[in-house]
Amino acid sequence: MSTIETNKRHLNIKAMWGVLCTMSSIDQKRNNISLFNVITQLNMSGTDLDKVVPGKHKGIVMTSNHELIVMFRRLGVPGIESAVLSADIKISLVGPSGDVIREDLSTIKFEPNIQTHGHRISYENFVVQSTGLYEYRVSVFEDNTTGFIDLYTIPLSVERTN
Amino acid sequence: MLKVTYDTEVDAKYVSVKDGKIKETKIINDWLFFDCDDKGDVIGIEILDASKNHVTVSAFDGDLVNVNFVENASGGASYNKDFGEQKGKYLRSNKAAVLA
Repeated sequence: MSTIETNKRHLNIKAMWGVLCTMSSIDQKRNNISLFNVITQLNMSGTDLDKVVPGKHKGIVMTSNHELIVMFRRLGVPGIESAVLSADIKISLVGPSGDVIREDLSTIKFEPNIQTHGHRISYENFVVQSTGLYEYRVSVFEDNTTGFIDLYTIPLSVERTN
Repeated sequence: MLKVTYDTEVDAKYVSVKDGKIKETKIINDWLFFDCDDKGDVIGIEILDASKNHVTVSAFDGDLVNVNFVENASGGASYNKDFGEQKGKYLRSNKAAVLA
């Protein structure tokens, strides 16, 4: 097994797709993934939202078990396919105001001759500041100068129900 | 905001959690070090042999709330540590709570 790692990480992978769902299941035999209840919108009661006082509270934490799934793929760089490839990935939840609410940093690793990598993060709840459009931003660490480069964005709309 | 710097020559990675002055460095093991400020908050994480030792870091509202690390990536020891008692508690809460 080759243990060659590349430093030009961002050039070697891309995010093909990403979704939010309530549950997922991976078929180890066929390496397929099943997604259940894909989430594009959360409905919040006005009663809960009204508890948040702007400037005093940072938001309200609501129970909402959900998973974020992102599928990464190696790009076709000659000589890379047979090597181990690793990359630092950051998932940032950005609120309607543009504030970064939470961040999760981790390292993904492609084994030799494996072209795709499914990344799954489970969340127990969701922090809501207000209604509006939230984004889960998927970014990859490029280098010390450039920092993280955005690869993919998963939108999530939060609406008021009453 | 979590930032990463990587020294490829010595294979060392530094995860910056937030701005601050280092008051103390806590040695977690022979490849993992936490830089803390005068309040005891972790402001940075240094990882040696970074290509082998992988760390998962979660931050909420600018503060570190969880670190999970795996030694030698494909196996080896695994650890989990929670930080930021109040914020971490809120994030693991199964009840609705207003976060001050």
